[in-house]
Amino acid sequence: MYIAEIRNKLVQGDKKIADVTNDVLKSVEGKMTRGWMFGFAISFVFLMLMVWALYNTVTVGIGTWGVNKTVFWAWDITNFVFWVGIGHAGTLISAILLLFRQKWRMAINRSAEAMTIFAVICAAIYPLFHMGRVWLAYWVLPLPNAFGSLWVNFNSPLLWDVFAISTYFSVSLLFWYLGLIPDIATIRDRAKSKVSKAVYGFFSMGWNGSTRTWHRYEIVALILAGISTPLVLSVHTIVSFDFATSVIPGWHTTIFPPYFVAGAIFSGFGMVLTLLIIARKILNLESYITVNHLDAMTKVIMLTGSMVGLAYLTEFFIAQYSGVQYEQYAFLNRATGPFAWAYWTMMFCNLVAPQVFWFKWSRTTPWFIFMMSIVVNIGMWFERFVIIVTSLHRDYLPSSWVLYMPTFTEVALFLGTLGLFFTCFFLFVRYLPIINMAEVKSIINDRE
Amino acid sequence: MAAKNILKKNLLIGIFDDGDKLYDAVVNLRERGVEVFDCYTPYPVHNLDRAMGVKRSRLVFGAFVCGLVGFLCGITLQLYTMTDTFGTFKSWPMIIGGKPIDWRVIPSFVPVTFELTILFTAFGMGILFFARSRMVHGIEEDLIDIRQTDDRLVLAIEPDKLSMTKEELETIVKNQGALDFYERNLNNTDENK
Amino acid sequence: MGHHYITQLPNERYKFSKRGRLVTGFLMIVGLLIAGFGALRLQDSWQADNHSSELHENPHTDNYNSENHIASTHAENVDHHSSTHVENHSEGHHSTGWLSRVWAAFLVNAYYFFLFAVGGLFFVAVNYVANAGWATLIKRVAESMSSYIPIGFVLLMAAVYFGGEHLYEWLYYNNHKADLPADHLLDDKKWFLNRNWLYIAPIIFVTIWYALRTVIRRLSLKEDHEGGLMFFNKSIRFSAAFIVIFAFTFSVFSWLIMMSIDPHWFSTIFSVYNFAIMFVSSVTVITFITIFLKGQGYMNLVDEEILDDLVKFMFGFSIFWAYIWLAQFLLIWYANLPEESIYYYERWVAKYYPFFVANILMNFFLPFLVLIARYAKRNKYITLFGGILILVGHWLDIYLMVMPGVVGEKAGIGPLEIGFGIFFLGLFCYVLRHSLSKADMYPKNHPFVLESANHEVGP
Repeated sequence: MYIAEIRNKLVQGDKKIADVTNDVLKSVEGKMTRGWMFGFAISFVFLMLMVWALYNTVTVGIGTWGVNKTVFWAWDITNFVFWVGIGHAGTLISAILLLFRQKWRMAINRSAEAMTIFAVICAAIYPLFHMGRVWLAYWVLPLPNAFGSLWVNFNSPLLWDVFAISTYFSVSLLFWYLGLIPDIATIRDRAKSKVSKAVYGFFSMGWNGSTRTWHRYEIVALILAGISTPLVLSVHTIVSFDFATSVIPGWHTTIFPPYFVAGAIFSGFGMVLTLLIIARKILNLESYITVNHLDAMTKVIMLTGSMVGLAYLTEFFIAQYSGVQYEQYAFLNRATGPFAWAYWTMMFCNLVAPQVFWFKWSRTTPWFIFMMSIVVNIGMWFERFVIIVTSLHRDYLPSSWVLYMPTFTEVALFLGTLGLFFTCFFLFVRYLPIINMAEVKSIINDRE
Repeated sequence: MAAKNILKKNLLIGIFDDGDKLYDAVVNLRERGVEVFDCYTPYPVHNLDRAMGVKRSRLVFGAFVCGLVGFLCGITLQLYTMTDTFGTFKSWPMIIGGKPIDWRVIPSFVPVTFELTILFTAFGMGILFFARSRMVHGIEEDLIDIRQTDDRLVLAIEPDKLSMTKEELETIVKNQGALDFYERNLNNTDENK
Repeated sequence: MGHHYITQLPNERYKFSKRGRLVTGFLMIVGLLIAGFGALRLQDSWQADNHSSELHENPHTDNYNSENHIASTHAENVDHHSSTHVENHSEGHHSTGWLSRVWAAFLVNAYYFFLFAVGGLFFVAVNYVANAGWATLIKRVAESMSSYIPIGFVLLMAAVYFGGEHLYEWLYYNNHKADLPADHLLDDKKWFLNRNWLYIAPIIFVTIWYALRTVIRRLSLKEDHEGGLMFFNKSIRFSAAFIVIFAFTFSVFSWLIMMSIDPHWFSTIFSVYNFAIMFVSSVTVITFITIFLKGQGYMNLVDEEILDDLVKFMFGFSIFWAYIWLAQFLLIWYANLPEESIYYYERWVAKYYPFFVANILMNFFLPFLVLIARYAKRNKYITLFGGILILVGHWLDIYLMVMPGVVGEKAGIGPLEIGFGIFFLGLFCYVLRHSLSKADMYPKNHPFVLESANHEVGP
């Protein structure tokens, strides 16, 4: 394929094919480092916090949460949407960027997809445990009822969510695993110990790199990308339907689907940057995840941030324009009511702050991008909080107006899912290659 | 993967360390009328499949069929449970949110139908891919070179269909930049290890 | 490697032949004649109609009454404003004479072709910003489409200035307040729905777009002569500026020109919906022009690899359009708030229901099935078939946005609508071909032009 001279090299530092394997597998084949043990231990402690919070929730009840009447959804759904949103970058990077033939995705798609899977697991915890009797969770599946012809309600956006999230999880897992097979085979063939040879051998499914298989493999990857792209859009669209199909002022607005999707990509890229900037430093992968990669990702952040900003302004405008006083009040209340601090945090973090990426320096300075990625994560968390809580805490009757404060159990649950997420990520870094070696080898002399 | 076939074959092997060289070698050999049995590479070499003359796989069609099945399953499940289309409402028509209980409720079915279409397509195609490539958990791999999943590229040619002598072939392949060239009787499974 | 790359580009320039001029001129004249014929016929039939039923001064009355009956059963919980809106409709629309339909037909076509022009510019800008190389060879096609912006905009604004009272109920209301029953909702919206905004804002927006377009075009032409990366780098910056400005201003533009036709109704996704129409139809137009030019013996470097990708865009953005359509429809359908669902009730009357269904079929289902296969994307005739579905479909789409709000059920698709369509087609083609002949076919010093010439789609 002809590539213009002015494009940057994707892999820097004159790497050879063998170097890719050696560099990437260092974290898998080498000894456990102190940093890894330390990070893993901390994450694990937080994971235990989650276990405690869930135990408390199940044994005592949902009363341990701060949700009340009329704020019947708050912390849990905020975090659910937050995690699902983070889970969007992975498939976006591997699917949409594959369709658009953006080769810079190849160095980052593996870790982003892993992140997707872990984030979706974290997300699923919230609605599952909000059900109260979590052991009856299988009731959301379309199983025939033993006592009559009563089925699940396919009119309910919450049920759509069940299908969307589970499809998203399983298809992402398949996509991720498919991408892993050649790399697992590489580890298998280099493995010294019998155990790892057997385990990696089991998961490599006898891969030997035949060109005929590669041919099919590339077609399958392309089609998976083709169907994952609408899937990614559909998942956050359906999450947005949870709100937008209702008639709650501030929730029922038709721009929600694309706006949630843009926000999800925005937050997902924020988290990818947070993780990758640390990972590339610690694992010495700066030749693969280069500054050019960070540059491209910050541009996506800027783009999606502006899209989200456009949606904020559109919502605000249409609320005024609609002439519906409840709608007008809902948005006024967001900006000036008791949760105004959350609203303006969101506005600053999502709309204003990413505009700094118009400057080249800010797109190419890793520590600065790292700080900004945290800002984005905070902003997107607050976006969900603002949407959910401010619309609920002012009911139609002023006598039902309430406030919302999270309880310790809720905070512990959130910190706990962070622990779960990072525990999974540390395990992933230790046992699987963080960069898709096969793909990177194919572009080793290539330009972006 | 053609993996099981290798075991019974006697193959001429060229070892490369660069995708471009292997690609050129394959093009060159095919121009001289030598059919390539297969290449084993650690990464997908761009256009190597075309150079080898691999026919475009019809997996896409399989995927389409799987998607169609998923679509039909999704829509049937929902029509069956939520509407009276199949005459299944014996006792509990579910009238929720004022939504109709006949086909007019179709907009509500769009999300789930869509998700099931995607789910069936993805997994159907995954299964087809694994089946077609004869890949399954726990299968024993057939490697010609232990580094063919790492940094070596393997060119494999069947000697019995050769239109030239092995020596001629060796010269060509080595001129194309092969690091090594040898014949390997893969009937002897010990040697494969 | 054994590849043979193209490293030299032939010099090609489109020649706008005399025959071409004649054909486009002929199209314009014939279009106007057909439209004029349609208008005359319409005038007759309209008067005949009104004589036969003098009580029905306003054709809207019946139609709205029946709809409101459906809608108002759900209206119990609606606040004051929305219920006034429902009543107001039944009390009558504004002056709906036969001229309303003429202006509406004119607006549909003027807006549609204007979207092509803006879409062409957007396509160029997006390719710069995304550092995309594959479409460089057809860049001049998209660029030339944007040369239609000024004339197209003048015609669009002509409809707004001269047909404003026919097209926009709120404008009529504002101008004739004394004679009309009060409409609180329209009074409330005066801060946005007023004459100044409508007359001035679009001019400001489009002037900015066209100024940026002029800069980008000039840079590109200079690059042809002088070479060097400077022009390319500058173009990226101007394109980024354009995209940001465009996103915000196009939203307001679409609310003013299109959404305010139904002034009581609102939808936050409306601007995105218009954007989707713009992008998918202009990509289709780019494909058509490319195929047309190839048929005339130009653009031999553009092979099916580039066309394949263009058709993928048509295919992909048809799905995107369907997604946005569904987002708007499903949410309004599901929540069924009367002030919102009135929009679809108006489009579910017998007159429009076939169009409503055709809209989804022609813009999503049929192109999806026609264009999904790889061979379809590489076959000129299948591509053209799918593209015609998309283009006619989106014409219908805009028709459905405009007509019910302007003329109620007194609509139809006759010589009027088609005639204006032919007129605009002729005009658009004339401007486009004129602009194409002004510059080299290939931007030969563009840094990505060889990438485009050697483009491969891959697996």
